[in-house]
Amino acid sequence: MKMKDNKIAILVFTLPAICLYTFFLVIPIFASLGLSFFKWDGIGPLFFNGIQNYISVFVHNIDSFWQSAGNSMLFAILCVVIQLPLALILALVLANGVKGESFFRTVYFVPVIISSVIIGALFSRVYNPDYGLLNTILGKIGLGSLKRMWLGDPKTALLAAFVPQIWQFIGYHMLLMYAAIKQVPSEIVESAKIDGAGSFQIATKIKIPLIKPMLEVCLIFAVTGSLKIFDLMYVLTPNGGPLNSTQIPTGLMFTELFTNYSTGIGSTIAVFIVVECLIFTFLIQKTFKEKIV
Amino acid sequence: MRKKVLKIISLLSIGVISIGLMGCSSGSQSSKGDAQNGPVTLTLWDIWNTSSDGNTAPFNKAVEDFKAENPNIKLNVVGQNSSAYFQKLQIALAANEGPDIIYCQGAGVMKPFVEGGKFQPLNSYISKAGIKNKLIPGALDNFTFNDKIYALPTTISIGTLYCNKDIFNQYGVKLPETFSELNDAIKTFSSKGISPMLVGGKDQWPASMYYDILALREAGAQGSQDVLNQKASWDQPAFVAAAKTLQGFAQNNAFNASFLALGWDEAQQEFLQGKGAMVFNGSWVSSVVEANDSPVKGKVVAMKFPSIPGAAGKDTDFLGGANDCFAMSSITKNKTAAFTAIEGITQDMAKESYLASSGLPAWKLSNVNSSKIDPLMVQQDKYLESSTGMCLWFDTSVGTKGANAHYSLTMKLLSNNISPEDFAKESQAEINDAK
Amino acid sequence: MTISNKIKKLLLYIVLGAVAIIQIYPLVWMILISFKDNNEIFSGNIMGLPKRFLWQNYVVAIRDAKVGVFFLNSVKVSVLTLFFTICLSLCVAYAISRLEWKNSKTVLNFFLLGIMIPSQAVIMPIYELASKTHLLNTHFLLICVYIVFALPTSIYILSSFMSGLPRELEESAYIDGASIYRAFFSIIIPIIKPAIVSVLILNFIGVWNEFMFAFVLINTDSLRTIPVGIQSLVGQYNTNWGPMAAAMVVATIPTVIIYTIFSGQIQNSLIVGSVKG
Repeated sequence: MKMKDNKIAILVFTLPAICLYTFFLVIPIFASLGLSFFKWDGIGPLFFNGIQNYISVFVHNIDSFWQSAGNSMLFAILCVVIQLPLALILALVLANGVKGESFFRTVYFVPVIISSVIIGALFSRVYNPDYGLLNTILGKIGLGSLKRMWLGDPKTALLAAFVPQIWQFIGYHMLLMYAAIKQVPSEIVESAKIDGAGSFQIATKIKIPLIKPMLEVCLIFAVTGSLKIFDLMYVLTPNGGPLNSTQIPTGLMFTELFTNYSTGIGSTIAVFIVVECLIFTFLIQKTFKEKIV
Repeated sequence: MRKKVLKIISLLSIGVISIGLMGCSSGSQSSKGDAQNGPVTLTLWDIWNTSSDGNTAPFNKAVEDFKAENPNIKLNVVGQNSSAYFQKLQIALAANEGPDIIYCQGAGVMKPFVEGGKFQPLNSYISKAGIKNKLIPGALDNFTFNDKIYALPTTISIGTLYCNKDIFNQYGVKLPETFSELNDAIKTFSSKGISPMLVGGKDQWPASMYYDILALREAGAQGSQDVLNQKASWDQPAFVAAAKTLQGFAQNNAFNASFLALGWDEAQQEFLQGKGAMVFNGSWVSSVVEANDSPVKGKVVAMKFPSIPGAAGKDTDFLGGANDCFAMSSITKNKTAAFTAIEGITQDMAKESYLASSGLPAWKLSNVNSSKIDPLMVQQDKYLESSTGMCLWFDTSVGTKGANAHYSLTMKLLSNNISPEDFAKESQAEINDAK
Repeated sequence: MTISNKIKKLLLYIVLGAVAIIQIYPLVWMILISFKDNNEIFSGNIMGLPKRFLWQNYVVAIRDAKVGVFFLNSVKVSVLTLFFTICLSLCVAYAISRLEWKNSKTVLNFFLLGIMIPSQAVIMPIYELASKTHLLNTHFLLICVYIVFALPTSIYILSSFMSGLPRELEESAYIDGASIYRAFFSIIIPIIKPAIVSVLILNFIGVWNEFMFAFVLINTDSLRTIPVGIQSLVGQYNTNWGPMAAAMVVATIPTVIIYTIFSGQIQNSLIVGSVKG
């Protein structure tokens, strides 16, 4: 391999993407970063504000910011603990070869495809206190005392809102893990079988270790995705839910940007979200100790 | 080390350039069309796209009529999604890319755009065209800031207590004309398992309407307006009394049982299904109630919300007013043509909406056969004609930020998480005193 | 097969089947309500079969939400976005994971930054940029925006797959005198097909269902995409959910078809035998 070829090749391969990406994404995010130091109503002139916005958000805790940050981190933890293991199990089972593998693979992915508006509408019906599926079932199996006003009760709204969101993207991670598992060379699996290993052992000792890079990818996606969640939460519990119990940073950011006409504060929250994701990604990468290159 | 410094410098300069791009907006004028010569092209943004909206057909008809009567003005009508309209408008106006004719709402909703200099004052055009006496008196109040008028209204909506006659007859309850009759009705219905008054608490704004009408009754029209215009404080006996009454309603089952968890869509449906006796909401509900497939068509009567004995408000004071309107962009090149369009469309739409039962006209109508109008609308129109005072919806008056605060505090009140006194105090702090 | 094995298998299928019902129910529910009217949807008959099949909901959907025109626009935007995203991300992922150079990790992290950005934060700056460069209200702008949002995840997934491949693959090609480009096209890409398909599927869904940018950046009906059309059915004070569900059914079918067709491609691993022997 000649070094010169190498350098040109690298440029050819990466430059177009880098240019496009810088123009349409990097410059805007830096503009957002810059805006966090200004006071702007999003319409008229800008006023330089120093770090006032940061103080308002982090020190004065406006809009109960830290509570919403806590909510989104709780959500991230729940996703990792519930979504990923379920996705992994499904991926392993399907990749192992079951009858109707294609059918199940298609069906399990369906929630990812359906728009958040429908999922939100469906779960609003399920959670309806009077005739919703959940309370009806609880009543029928004798657990009527557990009936609640799910999305209207500040004590239950947060977890109730989390359930559809955790559930919706199981298929997403399942697909990625499934693709990774399918890449595991079949000879390795075959020879392990010949050596007498059971499916469970093959799964845990061979397949999972070999798909570690993809697990890291899924973990990063799950965490950053859940820290940035917006759509479904907005549909299920508009305006931050009962007594602001389901508020999340992206919701606050949206409110500050477009309802309160405080672009500076909204941008500050955006910066927080980006930094938060950076920190978690860094931690995950360190834990896996396997850098990509 | 040098590499790091270089990196930081380049990042900072990107940031500075980006701010520079944001700060000085020159905007593009390319969509505005020819100024003087030849046919004029105007762009109009509205929010009426779907047939489920009572205003869509009237708006489309108004546009058609205008186009037919003004062949030299090319009108490019762009319907936007109502749910995200103001977000898009804000972004577009900030970059000077907005339309010539802009759908907006009055008072606090319009205020940021007015203060940002994005809307054109229309006073000279209005006086030249002699419009003032073609409008219902007071119709321009919500669009006037510092004596400058920024928009023309289409329709007026008022808060009405819709009552299902059949349910009242079934249980032998008198339609409430006084406050004690209202309380009696509430007591009877809740003891019989019918929701007395329906609320879509999850969406928050329907719930705040109940507070607003009580406050209006306690403080009167002028008194309420003073608070909303920041000339008086929320923390006053009248507003505290209203909060107390509202909380009392919630505690005594005056509302549907799970009102905290139901959205407006669902609550409205309960009314349509005959599961609730009354609902207090705006005139726009009329078109849904009187739609051909509505199970309660013809069974609903519009009552004035009763006055509260001993309080300043009369039952002929109304919550609501002219809200839907069209404004003109301050940077449009065709101001005269734009005004002609605004005048023509708003006036025509006022008539068509009235005919379609989706709103009361903000303009005086001359040749409308009242036998063609739905009785529900005629009733409300009569109320409007004999009104002694109007107070615009509280959430529109205080603007979106104040509205959110108002919603949260009202919800706290309804779920017994705040005392009426603290409600008034915090409302003042978060709505009027907040910068 | 022993009895206990049979029982285990049966249990497995029961569980799989139960999960399948839970997963597919939203789609079924959506199709059901597309035939109902608001009365039935809200209280009469939420979960069951429609009493009458209101085909006119579909007519309203196609008329009001202009699903026909918007469908073509969505197809155009999606196909172009996907094509360029895959091309660009394959190139970058290959450079990062298979070629050796000093700043490869920096570039990967540079792209990874994109995963962490909440889209609502950058919508105003992007709009400003677009306005200054006269790109507003063009498919070109929308496609570019979608591409840059899709690049981070695509590059990350592809480079993850690529770095798991043994080095020997290209070594043998280089020894035979092939250039880097040759190795890229003829060897790596075919092997990485399952990853490419996954990226294709995931990006397609993201682009097809995207609302915010499609709404803000496009102003002409003839250029609009489906999600905007669907959302336009939400009225100012009242929404008819039947036609809205109908519009969504029309919008969702292509996604299901594409997924079904392409996910089959993931099933086959192509590494077998390419290196050993």
